[in-house]
Amino acid sequence: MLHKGTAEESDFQRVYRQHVDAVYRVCFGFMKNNADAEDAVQETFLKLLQCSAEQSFESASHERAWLIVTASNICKNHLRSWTRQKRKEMESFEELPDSSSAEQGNQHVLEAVLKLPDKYKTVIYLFYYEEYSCSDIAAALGKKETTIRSHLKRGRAILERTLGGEADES
Amino acid sequence: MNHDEIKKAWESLTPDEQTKERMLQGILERSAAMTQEESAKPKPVPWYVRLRVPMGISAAAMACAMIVTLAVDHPLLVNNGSSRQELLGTMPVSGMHTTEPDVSADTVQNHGAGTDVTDMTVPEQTTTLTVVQPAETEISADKSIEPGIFATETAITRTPVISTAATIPEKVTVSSAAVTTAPATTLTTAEETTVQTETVSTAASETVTTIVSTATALPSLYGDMYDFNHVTWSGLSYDTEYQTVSYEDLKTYLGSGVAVGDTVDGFYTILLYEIAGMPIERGFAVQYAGQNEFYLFYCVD
Repeated sequence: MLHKGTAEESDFQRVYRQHVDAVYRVCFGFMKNNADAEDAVQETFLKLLQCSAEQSFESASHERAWLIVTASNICKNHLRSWTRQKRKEMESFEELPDSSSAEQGNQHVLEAVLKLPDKYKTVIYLFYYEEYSCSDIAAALGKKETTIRSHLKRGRAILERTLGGEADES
Repeated sequence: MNHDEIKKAWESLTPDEQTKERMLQGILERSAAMTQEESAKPKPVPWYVRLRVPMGISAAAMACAMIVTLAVDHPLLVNNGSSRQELLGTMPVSGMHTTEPDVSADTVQNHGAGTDVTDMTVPEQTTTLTVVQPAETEISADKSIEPGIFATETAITRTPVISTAATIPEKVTVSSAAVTTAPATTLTTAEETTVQTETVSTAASETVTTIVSTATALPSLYGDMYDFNHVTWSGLSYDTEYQTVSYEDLKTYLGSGVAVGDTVDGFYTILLYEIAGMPIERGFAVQYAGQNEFYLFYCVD
């Protein structure tokens, strides 16, 4: 936890190592390639460095939630740009990190998750991986809890349809 | 598809250690660069600091404008010509002809001291103007005037234009007048003054006007200018025989310099002027500081 007034490099590195995986996953989920995801991760932690002097976090989970939301906002801003949109049309997943280590069964689940619309993808990640409750997700994203439940339900339905269809085919 | 499958799928999106280190180094480098940029960026100046100079100038200009306005319009100020007229118009001068406050240069002029009548007003030194009726009399500073003779004392302020020597012509200003009808008994003069006397007769009543002007002998700052007859300008040496050059022959102002002499130490500050039709390499005109005349300096190299 990077508390107020403790923005020293050692503290920052500790916070970085603690949360970099989560931030990277969020960024990769949006950007769908390593290079952009790394840029987004760096930008997110830079924001943390800039804000650390002004903002204090109540706990490590608060800090983690702040990082995830900031990362998703940064990624959305990147995706709004015209060039990025054009690029998005042309690309699918350029690469998946360390795919050799991932199990083959998880690979198509991951692809299905990453293909979800952004608003569902973040909620699915926070709910299933970070194991946040719907109210926590609503508080973190600044949305109504009912909206989060709705997004979660629709995202889950898309995943079931996608993965279920594949399973049926296989 | 269940909870664990989705979680494991996300877990597979984990950067390796090399990527993490690379990102960390990138963050630290970018942070350091941003810190340097912020430190190099000048601090924003508050508006009251930015406007301090213009506000000061404006305030000074307003103060000057107010002073000028007061000086022009205020009836009690000595410097005001109209008030002088009003003041003189109410003077109880009776049975005598005297010089008006608007004493013309033809009527009142101290030739000996080169005193001119102007409207300049610096009330520092006074000159006594005495009008004596009826006889045409020359009076000196130590003479007493007989009782019964009306005297008009006019305060004349004098502004020396160039005041380096006592014999230099000086401009004298008649700025205000105070006429007294009481008999003048003694004509007093200030100490350390040179008394110049002139008798002026008016046609109507043969009034004798005597002007006593003062001229303070001021010491020269540099000494005798005739001791400083050598100038070096643009690497060339120039001397003078103190041949004067008229003002109309001057073309442009070249700058200031110093004149030196063979027999004296130190220097004499001078102003240099180009003479029309004469190249600077041949000569130029020099005005000694505090002097009116321009002298020809010719090249001796």
